[in-house]
Amino acid sequence: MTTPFSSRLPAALGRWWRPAIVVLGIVVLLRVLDGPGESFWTQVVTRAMILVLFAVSADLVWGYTGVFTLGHAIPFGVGGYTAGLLADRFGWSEVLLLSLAAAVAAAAIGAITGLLLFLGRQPLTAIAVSLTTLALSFVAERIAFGWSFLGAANGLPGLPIPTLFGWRIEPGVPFFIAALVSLFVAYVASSHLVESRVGLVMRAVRDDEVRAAYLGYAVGHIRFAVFVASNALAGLAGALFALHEGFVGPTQIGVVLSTQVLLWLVLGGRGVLLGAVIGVAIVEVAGRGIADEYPRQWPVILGVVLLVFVTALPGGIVDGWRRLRDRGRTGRSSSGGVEVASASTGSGAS
Amino acid sequence: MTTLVGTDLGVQYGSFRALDGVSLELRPGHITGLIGPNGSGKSTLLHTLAGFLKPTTGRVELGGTDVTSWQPYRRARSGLSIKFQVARIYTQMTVAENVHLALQTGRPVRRLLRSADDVVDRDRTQALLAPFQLDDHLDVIAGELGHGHQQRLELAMVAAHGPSVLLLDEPTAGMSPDERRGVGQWVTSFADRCAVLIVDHDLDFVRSISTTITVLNQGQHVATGTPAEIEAHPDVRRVYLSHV
Ligand SMILES: Nc1ncnc2c1ncn2[C@@H]1O[C@H](COP(=O)(O)OP(=O)(O)OP(=O)(O)O)[C@@H](O)[C@H]1O
Ligand SMILES: [Mg+2]
Repeated sequence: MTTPFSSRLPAALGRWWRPAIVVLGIVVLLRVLDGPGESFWTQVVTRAMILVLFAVSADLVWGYTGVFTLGHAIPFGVGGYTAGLLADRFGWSEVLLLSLAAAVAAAAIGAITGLLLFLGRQPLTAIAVSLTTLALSFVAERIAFGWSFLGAANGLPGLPIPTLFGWRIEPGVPFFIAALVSLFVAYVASSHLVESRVGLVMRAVRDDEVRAAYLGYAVGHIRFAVFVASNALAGLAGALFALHEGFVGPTQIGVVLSTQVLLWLVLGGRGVLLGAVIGVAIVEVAGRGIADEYPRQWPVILGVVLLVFVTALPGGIVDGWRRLRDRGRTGRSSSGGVEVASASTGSGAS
Repeated sequence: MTTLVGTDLGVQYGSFRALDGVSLELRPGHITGLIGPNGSGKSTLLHTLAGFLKPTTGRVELGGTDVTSWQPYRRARSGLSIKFQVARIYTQMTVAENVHLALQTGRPVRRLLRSADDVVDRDRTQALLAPFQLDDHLDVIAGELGHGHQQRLELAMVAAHGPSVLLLDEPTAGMSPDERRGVGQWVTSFADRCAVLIVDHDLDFVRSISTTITVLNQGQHVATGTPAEIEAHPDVRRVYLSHV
């Protein structure tokens, strides 16, 4: 944190070599799993990366500013429908433009919702925020189901393959690369944000909004800003998802997806960006095999796992792993001279 | 120079009147001690002045402006600061991060996105923590501090915020007499820049540092005066005799 600029670059490299190796490993694995001319597993992982992008955006809101939104599929779906409509009805194909339009549309929706949630004269309580977002998600799903312009229950199928500067981004290796680049950029930007002093303020707002307010922070404004930015990111993810699947429909804006994204964060861990990656990896990639094998039992298995996590490991897998690691290091954790309070504070934002 | 004035403040919890028509004026350079038996409404009064509670009657003025409807962050930006009875610090953050949060308010977001500030703030943080003997605990997680240290960390945060009106709710609770004297000296030194309201159950302590004392009982104002006047006041004696 306090390194001078000259040594920052190697430090940054030091941080990213491990993820780089993981990505390399995944690429090699995909070459093995997908035979020549096939791209099934490449597409599974591409889809997962897009969902990680979505989960990261949800973590910024829930994990870092403590807003338990039950409507995070709204910006995802708005992004998806925006890209879908522009591609399907208006013949847009440039993926950069489609993504940008989707992000802007989702941010605009986020600004309207955020105004209602955070900038009223009397700030809403946490419960009211959750219930409002839940209701909005429900409404969004109903609208998508009922409105023929959006394809109603069928959604918009058969979306054309997007292009990047005229180059076709087919599902498979090209889309894999596009998703990887998007995720990398968003992830690096998000981690820079949450580790900066702005991130410190976000956590302060999450942990004790009264104290934050008495230090002079406009809690509502901060939550609003993060919410809008996060909605834009979710809109981008929604657009990529729709373009990758060649389809956008009501499930991509509804209540189920809104809760699913929270589930990934519960499993992986919130308030830590890596949690989003791990949560999605477990449920959407590893869990996929089980889900295909035992489709009826899968929701029950997932429910039980979730219950175990909420009660026994509320900080998620990342937090659990860190504790295990720290346990190996105890003995020098608390420095001498300080009276150490007997009660240790549990982690986790509510 | 900012004066905080509360006029005719009333607070109702359901049908229970926790505060009933209390008025109070806090002037720069003055330390006002607020005393009264348990449950007499001291914290309720502080919370109302701070804007944490909305009064059912009366108004609050800060530097001549009516701030009754202002949200807490606006009052804080106008120079109001409060230390709560139960320390409100960030237990999952380090001591230094807690102070940074107080130091960096009002800085533009662009600066907060750069990490270079850490170097600059470290010395200031250390200096701010020194009066509270916390300057060698910069990287300790605040939740691992003992109770007294947590109280003092909150005081350091409040000081870092640079208030012109300071509300202190039992800042020395759970401290040794020595620590208490230290806090007393710090409050006194702070008061020449600032209007201070301090709640404490140690009457000798309050008498020793206050210029004015206000007494509450059952949500009502009993008396206001110099420490000597309050000591001699018949109503005050009655309140304390009937409770102690
Ligand atoms: N949220 C609340 N709801 C209902 N009653 C409350 C609430 N908060 C405080 N009270 C009541 O209001 C009265 C005044 O409380 P307050 O905390 O202001 O007293 P206090 O003088 O600060 O007491 P202490 O010396 O114990 O801190 C008490 O009788 C208390 O029980
Ligand atoms: Mg009290």
